[in-house]
Amino acid sequence: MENKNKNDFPGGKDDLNIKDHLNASFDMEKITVSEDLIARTLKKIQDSEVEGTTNAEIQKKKVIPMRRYVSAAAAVLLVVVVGTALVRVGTLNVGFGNSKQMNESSGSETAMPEEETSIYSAEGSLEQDLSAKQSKSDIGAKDNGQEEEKAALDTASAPEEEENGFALTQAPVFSVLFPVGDFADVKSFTLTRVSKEEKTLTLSVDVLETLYTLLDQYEMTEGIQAEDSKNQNIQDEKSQAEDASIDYKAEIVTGDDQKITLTFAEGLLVRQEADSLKADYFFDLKDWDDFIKEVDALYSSLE
Amino acid sequence: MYEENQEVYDIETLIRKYGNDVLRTAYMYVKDSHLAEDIFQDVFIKVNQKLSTFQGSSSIKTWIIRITINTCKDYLKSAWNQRVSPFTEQQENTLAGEDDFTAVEQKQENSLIRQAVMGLPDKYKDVLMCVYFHEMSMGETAKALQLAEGTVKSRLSRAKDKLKLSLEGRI
Repeated sequence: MENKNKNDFPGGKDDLNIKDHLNASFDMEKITVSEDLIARTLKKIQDSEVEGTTNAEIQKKKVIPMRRYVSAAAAVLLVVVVGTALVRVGTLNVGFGNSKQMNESSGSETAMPEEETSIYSAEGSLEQDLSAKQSKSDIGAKDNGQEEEKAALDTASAPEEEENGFALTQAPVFSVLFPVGDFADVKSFTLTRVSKEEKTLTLSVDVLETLYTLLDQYEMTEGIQAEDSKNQNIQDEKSQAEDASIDYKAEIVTGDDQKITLTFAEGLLVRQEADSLKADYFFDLKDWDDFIKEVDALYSSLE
Repeated sequence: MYEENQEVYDIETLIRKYGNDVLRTAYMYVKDSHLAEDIFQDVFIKVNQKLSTFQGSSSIKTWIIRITINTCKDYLKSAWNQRVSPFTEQQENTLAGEDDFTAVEQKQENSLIRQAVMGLPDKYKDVLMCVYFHEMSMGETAKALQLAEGTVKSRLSRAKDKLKLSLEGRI
């Protein structure tokens, strides 16, 4: 800084000698820096430095917030829960497989609950439609009923389509898909051999039960399904075209007047009819030749 | 002339060299010796913390005085001090002034001038203190107060006029 003459300031002369007067006044009132003030100030500076260092160290340490631990624990828990659920599902599938084998051997209707639910919901809808149709005679009502049935049947098959894991392990079981209720209530059952000279046998429910047991023993895979009776013409054409290869036909009238028609022709075509409602299903059977041989044997034993 | 070297940057050296300037400047604003000491400590804590960031674009004294004035203004801006401080220091100054007034004529003149400067509006007091008390150049004052040099000149001129007006007939 430049040393200035007190009367030679750039802003004009300091006529009042302000600096001298102020300093004299401060000196007189002892407004000066004492050793005590310097010592106190230095101590404060040291304290602030220590505090600053401590704060810096704390910031460097970056204490991990508790929230992160909680989040990590939640994530681990989620993984464990999902893993456990997957293991359980796998176990259920294996269990179902065993259960299905038992059912197949016994021919009972105590297979997979889900499947039962599916098919029964379809059957229930069919029953509801039937009762509804009995009170309605117009064609429009029938159409609506068909649509409802179709929707119900679609719903029945939806879980298998959506849950591939189940679909892979759960082959359809015939007696579950097409139950006749109590065999004793079945009104009629006929079995027709088409492949050779056509001959129809009217049979007892015991034979029907045997046929159901036989069907349950063969693994079925769902084939192309005729959507509804609107496609019946197409289906009929298909059936006619396949007539040459049809081996057997079985017709069942259940206690609640449902008609189930089974056509054995390089596969199993099932038609469910109730009143004017129709629904067709097609299944491929593994070891078809063995199956048809067994049917041949059954039929021969009944002739 | 202030020399910028490592020795000057030692905080204790700075305190001893510029301590009075800081303390008295603070007193001119807060008008209380105890408060001025508090400001003094705050100023040198800040100086110590920011010493490494000092670029040397102005003298170290200009930099310290700038910190001092800003610290004083921050203090005075607080609502609490705006309510309490003026009453306290006015009373103290009046009492001290009365004592001096009856003692020596010189002391009376010193006190009158100091009170006249302290009574100036801040914008004039800033310039007057920098130029006449700290003997800064216009450029240094402009840097310290972050003003244009022209503004410093005009404010200094008005500050002198106001000061003379307030002292007229008293000294």
